[in-house]
Amino acid sequence: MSVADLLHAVCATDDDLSSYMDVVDDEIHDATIAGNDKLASQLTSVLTRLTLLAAKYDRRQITAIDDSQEVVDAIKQLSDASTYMDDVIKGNKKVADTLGTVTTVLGALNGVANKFIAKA
Amino acid sequence: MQTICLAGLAVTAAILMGCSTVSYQKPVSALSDSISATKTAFNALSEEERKDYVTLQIRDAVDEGKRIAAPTRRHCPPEKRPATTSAGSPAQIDCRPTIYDPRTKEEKPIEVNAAAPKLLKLADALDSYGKGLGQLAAAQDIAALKDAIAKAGAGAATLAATVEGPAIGAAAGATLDFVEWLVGAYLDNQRFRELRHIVEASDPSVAIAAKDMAQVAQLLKGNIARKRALDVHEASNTFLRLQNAGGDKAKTEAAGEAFVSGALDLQAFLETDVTETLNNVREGHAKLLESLKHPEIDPAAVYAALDTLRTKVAAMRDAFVKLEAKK
Repeated sequence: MSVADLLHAVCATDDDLSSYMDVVDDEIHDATIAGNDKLASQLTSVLTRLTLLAAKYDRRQITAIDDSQEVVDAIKQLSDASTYMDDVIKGNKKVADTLGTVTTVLGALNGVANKFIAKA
Repeated sequence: MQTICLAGLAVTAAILMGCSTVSYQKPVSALSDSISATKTAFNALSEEERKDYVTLQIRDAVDEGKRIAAPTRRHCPPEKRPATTSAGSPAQIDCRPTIYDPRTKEEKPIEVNAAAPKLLKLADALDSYGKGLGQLAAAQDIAALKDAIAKAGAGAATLAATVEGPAIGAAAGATLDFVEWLVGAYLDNQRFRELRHIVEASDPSVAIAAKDMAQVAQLLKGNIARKRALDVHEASNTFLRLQNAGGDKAKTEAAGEAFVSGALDLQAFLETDVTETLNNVREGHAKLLESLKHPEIDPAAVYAALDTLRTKVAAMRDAFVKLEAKK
């Protein structure tokens, strides 16, 4: 079992992992200051493993959010809203209704105008 | 009677004039642009994390002495015929290379998918919604509006033709202008109502989209930042190796510059707050709704708030582009 595997086995949470990463990071820093490039390189390999583990932890959290019902509902709601607006903009439905109302308004206006003209 | 009729028309006009989408074009357009820019940034964040995750798996496999194997013809058939399983049914094509661990004898395909496929769809839906809002507020030449004006014009022309005399002709002319304006105001008012209706109905979904995208963006950013911090360590190691070897001075200096510059770009990326930007989208939408529900609120105030959002989105994208260029 490698050092990284051992760490994986004992890391119960993301915070545990983060603490180990801090320790390894400090060790890399000390090795660099000491000019020990071989040790710095070996420790960086351990850090690679820890970084991958941390990414897996985070991806698990992301999946939980991504799979939630509220995300699915929001997609549907916003897609429906876009379709509705398309209908309004293209005049497929709502503007057709609007036109009907406009015609009624115009009819009433014509009536008013006729009376106005007759009295003029 | 004339006075009553004119007063009636004036009241109708005043009612129609009350609300207008025209004054909302600027804030709605700003919100729409910001949503689009945020979606682009979110997609880029997701794609970078995906690529970094693939790189991490490969780098880890190499460090750990694992083997990376090419996909087999059975899983990744180069011919056009669909692959089949042993039962004869079509198999899913999977051309991902695998990572084999000689110690545990486990073989797993490299994970190459984006971390949040549904949220990417949600970002698309949010973007379409934002674009639709912009179009709805900006629509100036709806064919229906022209039709209505044409009908009004014809009606008024008929009126003008049936009466004679300069006084009555002037009155009919005035009616034509008035009707044109009134029809325009009426349709504009209808668009305002549609805008208010749709913004109100969608506000909870926009809030959910912004909240969940912000949460995931933070996690994606964390994954990218950790991988880039690792890159900085690698660059530092390269520099240290060259320095210890005491070789080409120019090469050592170039490695030092690359390492320092990578660290500074990482800092700029870390300083951007992706959560704040997405929260601002939610707030911007809520402000727009408030303003649509209470037309006494000046749309200019909404625009000012959205302008801040646009600045923040732009800053986030700039930092991201800088980091991207250093890869």
